[in-house]
Amino acid sequence: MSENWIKTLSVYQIPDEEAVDFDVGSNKKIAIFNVNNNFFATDNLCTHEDASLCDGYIDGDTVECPLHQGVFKISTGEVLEPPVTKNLKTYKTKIVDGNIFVDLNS
Amino acid sequence: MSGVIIIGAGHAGSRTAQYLREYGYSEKIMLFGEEDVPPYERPPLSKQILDGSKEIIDCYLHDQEYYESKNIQLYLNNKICSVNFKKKEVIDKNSIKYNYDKLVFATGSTPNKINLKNIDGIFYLRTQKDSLEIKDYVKDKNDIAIIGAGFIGLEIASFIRQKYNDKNITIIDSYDKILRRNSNDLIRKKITKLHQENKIKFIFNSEIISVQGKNKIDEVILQDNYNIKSDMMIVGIGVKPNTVLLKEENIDISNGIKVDEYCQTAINDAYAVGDASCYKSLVLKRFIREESWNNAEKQPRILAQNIIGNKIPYNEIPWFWTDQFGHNFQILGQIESFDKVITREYGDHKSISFFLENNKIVGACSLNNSKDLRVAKEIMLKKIYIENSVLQNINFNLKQIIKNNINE
Repeated sequence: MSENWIKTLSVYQIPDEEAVDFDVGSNKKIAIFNVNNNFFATDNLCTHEDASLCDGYIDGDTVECPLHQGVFKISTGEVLEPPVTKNLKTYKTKIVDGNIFVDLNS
Repeated sequence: MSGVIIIGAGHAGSRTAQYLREYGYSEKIMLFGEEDVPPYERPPLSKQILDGSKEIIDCYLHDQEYYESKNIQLYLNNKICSVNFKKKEVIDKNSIKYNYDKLVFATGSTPNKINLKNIDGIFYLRTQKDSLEIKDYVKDKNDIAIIGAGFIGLEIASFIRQKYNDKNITIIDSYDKILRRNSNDLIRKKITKLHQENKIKFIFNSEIISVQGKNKIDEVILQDNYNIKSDMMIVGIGVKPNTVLLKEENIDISNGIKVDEYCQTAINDAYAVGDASCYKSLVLKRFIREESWNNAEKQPRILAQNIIGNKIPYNEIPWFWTDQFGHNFQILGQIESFDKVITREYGDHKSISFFLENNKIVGACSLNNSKDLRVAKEIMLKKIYIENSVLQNINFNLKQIIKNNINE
C-alpha cells in the first residue's frame, strides 16, 4: 500500500512521557507518545478493551492500559504484560519543521 | 503425577490454569466448572451485557480450543461434591474420583438471598445466564425495584437507565446511604447525585418484608407497610464465599478460605484464589477478601508461581473500578479508615482523592482519572512521601515528582 502521511501535532504539544490522542477520521484516533523526545504513534485503544492508552501510565518506552493494566512497548507495540495478548498497531512517524507526521498506511 | 485440580472455572480458576502452563508446568491440569460456558470475565454482566454493547462471547477469557491446545482438561457443567484431603482425591457429581498433587479452590462466591415466596420476576446476578435473563426480562417491564445500593445494584440501575429512559427504577437499601462497604462519603455523594440526575429513586433505611403477586411479582412490601409497585426486582445485597467443600476441615473459613501471602491454605497442597480466598495482604497488613476483577486476574499469577515451586508473595494493593452513567470510578487500597483526605480537582468531573493515615497515603479514589490513580499506586508501593500541598495542587505533575524521587 502507498504511504499516507498526515500532519498531526506539534512536538511542543506533547510533554516528555506523555501521550496525546489525535483524530484521524472515521471515528478513529491514534495516540502519539513522547518517549524522551522520540515520537511514536500507535492505535489509541488498548487491544484488550476499549480504553484510551493516552490515559495510561507511561514509564520510559512502556505504556500501561488505564483499565486493566496490560502493558505494551510503545516503540514496537509489543505486549509486555497480560491481560493483553494482542500487539498494538504502530505507525511510522517523522518530524518536519517541528510537526509530527504519521504514515497511516504503515 | 496426578497434577493440579482447580475447582471453579471462573476468572481466577482459568487464569491459574493458564499461568501454570505459561510458567512451564507440564503435568495434568483439570479445571472443573459448574456453568456450561468457558470461563469468562464478570464485570460486563452488570454493565455492557445489560445495555447490549457486549455479548457473552466477548467476555470469554479464552475460547474452548485454547484449553485443548494447552492441554488443560476443562470439565464444564460439572461439580466437585467432596474432597478427601488425606487421599488427595476429589469426587464429581457423577461420583467419578480424580486424584491430585495440588488442589486449588477457585470456588468464587454466591449472591446472598432474601427468603421470599417463589414467584417470577425476582433476579440475582452472578452468572452470564443471570445477566442474560435480566436483560431479556427487563425489556417490557416498567417498574424495577433494585434491592441493595451497592456497586452491583448501582451499576445495574445505571446500565438499565442508559438503555431505557422511561422505566421507573427504585433502589432500596437498609442503610442510610449508598455503598455501605469499601466507600466513603465523597464517593457516595458523587454517585448518588449522578443517579438522581438520571431519575433513579432511592429509598434508604428500609428493609424488604415480602413481595406480592400471583405468579409474578407486582409489588414489593417494605417495612412500615410501605408498598412499591414493581413488576421486576433485582437483588444485589452482597455475596458469600463458596467454602462448603472445606466445612468439615479444621481451618478458618469464616470469611472465605484463609490463605497466606503464597495463596496456601493450612492444609497441605491445598490453595485458594479469587473471591473465595481470604488472603494475607502485605500492603494492608491484615487478612482481606476481595470481590474484584483485579484480584481474580493477579492472584493466580502468584499462585501458579508457588505451585511450581517459586516462593513469591502476593503484594498487590486492592483495586477496583465501577462505571456509573458514563463515569469511571476507581478505588485503590483502604478508604475506610483514614485521618485526612486530600482532593485534587481538575473540574469537569475529573478528580482524585487521597486518603491518608499519619500522613501516609493508604488509599485513593479517582473519578475519570485513572492516570493519577496509577501514580497513587506507585506512591503507595514505593512508600514515597509527598507534601500535602503538592498532592493537592494540580500544577504539580505527580508522576514527575515520583520519578525524581526514585532517581534521587
